Amino acid sequence: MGASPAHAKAARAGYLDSLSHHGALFSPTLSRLALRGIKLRAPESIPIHVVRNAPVEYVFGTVGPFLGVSGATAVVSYSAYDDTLTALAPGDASLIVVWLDYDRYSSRHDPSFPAWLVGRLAHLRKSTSAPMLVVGSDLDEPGRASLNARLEQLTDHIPGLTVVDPGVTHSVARSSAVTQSRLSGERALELSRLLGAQWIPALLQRTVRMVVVDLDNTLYGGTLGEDGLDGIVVSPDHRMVLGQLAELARRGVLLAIASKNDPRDVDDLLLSGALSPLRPDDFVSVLASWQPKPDALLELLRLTRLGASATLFVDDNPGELLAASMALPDLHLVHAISAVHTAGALSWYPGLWRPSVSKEDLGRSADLRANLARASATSSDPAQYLAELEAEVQIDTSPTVAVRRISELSNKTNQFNTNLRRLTETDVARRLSDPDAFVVTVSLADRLSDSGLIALVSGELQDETIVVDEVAVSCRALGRGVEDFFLQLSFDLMIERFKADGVLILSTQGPRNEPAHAWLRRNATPSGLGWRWSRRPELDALRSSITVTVDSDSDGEMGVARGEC
Amino acid sequence: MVSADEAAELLSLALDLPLDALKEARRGVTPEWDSLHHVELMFLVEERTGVLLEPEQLAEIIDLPSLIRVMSSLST
Repeated sequence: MGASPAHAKAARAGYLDSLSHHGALFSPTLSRLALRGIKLRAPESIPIHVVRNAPVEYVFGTVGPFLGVSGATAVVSYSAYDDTLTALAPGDASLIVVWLDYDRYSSRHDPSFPAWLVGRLAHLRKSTSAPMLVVGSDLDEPGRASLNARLEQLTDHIPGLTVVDPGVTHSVARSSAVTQSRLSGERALELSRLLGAQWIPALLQRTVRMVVVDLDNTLYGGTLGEDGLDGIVVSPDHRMVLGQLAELARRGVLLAIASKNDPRDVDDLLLSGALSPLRPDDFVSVLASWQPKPDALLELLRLTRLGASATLFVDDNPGELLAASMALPDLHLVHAISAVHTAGALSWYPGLWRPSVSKEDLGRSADLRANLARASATSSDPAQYLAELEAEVQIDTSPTVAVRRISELSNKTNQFNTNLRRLTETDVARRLSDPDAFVVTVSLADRLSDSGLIALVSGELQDETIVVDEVAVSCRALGRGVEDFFLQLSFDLMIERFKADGVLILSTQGPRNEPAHAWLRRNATPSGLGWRWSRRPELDALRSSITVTVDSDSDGEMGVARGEC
Repeated sequence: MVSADEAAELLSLALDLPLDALKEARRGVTPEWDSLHHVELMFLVEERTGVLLEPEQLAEIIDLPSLIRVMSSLST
């Protein structure tokens, strides 16, 4: 299964540790006393700097348990109270949170206030390349949401900046004189959960890409094989869970089933509509068999090319969860103790929430199914295979409208990623504005699906040599034998642009980027600090089988593939 | 009824201090008992008792005995 005994033992301890606290973390009503008692093992430390104009320690003080579910802990530093946002952010922060109490601004109703604030945020942006989260909090202001919406519009041009609206902040006027904060204790906890379970994981791109669910006593009460289709019970609480899963599917999270049942019974169940509003095609894969759950999960990860760390497994059987955690230590787990608990987990498990949904998110499930269809194609001639697929490659040598998407691809691609450079939006924006640097993107489509923006090459000219510090290709593009071709084409274009004499590719060995190193071995030779790229003329023959367009100012219509792999 | 032990546990949790350090702890004197930790204590007391503290009660809490006194008054 791939896990060493020591790793499996640690995973078992972590599993028991984490699951025992899920009730308190996912509950509709939060308890500060309960949260203060939760000490999760969190091997990863995330430095977060808070730029604020009011006390927010009461909010950040309980973020830890929520972040801890995903194995991280926050080390939070705070600015002085600063209405003008003049302080610069420290360079070592992984995330900057700008928390503003709008009530402190007497000019908040002035039409020029949003533009002034955007100017201050742009100033702050210059001091750090870390993602920035802006939380505009206003205790009594009915226009808070519209002000935040306006701010979101006006900051669209600032890379790596996300504005969220925290909702109504229930005021407790009696404590403001003493605490200088009108946050109620309950609302402070709710905001803490929004930060730790939704906003921070989303901005740090720690996303759950797939939810794998058990069936019996998880999505309904009863056992399908024993009670039959007419005997299972879908309670209102179960229906809520089914609705949440359907919504996750609509927002681009892949759904799959791993169930110990007769596959014919499961087919009947899905076709019956009993799991409405879930539909059969909401699932990228349905594995109903008697094989051990860890084997089914491994099969699903292989099919989807996702990592365990991007996958959440929901099952009512603690033994199955334990077995899964020992086989796949990075797998996220939810114990479906009850439908209410499962609903809470699907609302609050870190990594499930996204700040926005793109058209590529909406089409991800269909794209995966297309990948499975491609895998069954039989042609052994690469050119013929690509011609049959009607492959289309679009190369953009100046993808200025795709900054956020490029950063996502860089951060979420683990397998075909040469240098694990993890470009921030600010990094990307700087390269695109630097005449000696570049970012090239590749979008891919065929008759089965439009995979969107699936690859990037980033680098700069140094002494007449193009030094490439990142090549990342989404797993959604792999398996068609086309990556060698489009990467060669990308290098050709950059050599031509810079009149360079060669390409040096920097690389890093990561835990999962062997596919990138295999590509390096096929297309380059080791040379000092990196790999010297070698052109392969035989790849040019594929050009007749692929429709290629080169764009220097794309409108980004082909979109992006966001699957982490 | 809130016991002295419960009050001490809440204060220990709010100030991140061991129980045996609470006897000497005084608001505004003990470094750990600043205004931020006082608010944390307020939230914990309110959750434990289910009663919102008035500003006067918040101001009255300056050490463990006064915390016990205020919490006892909330519970009666």
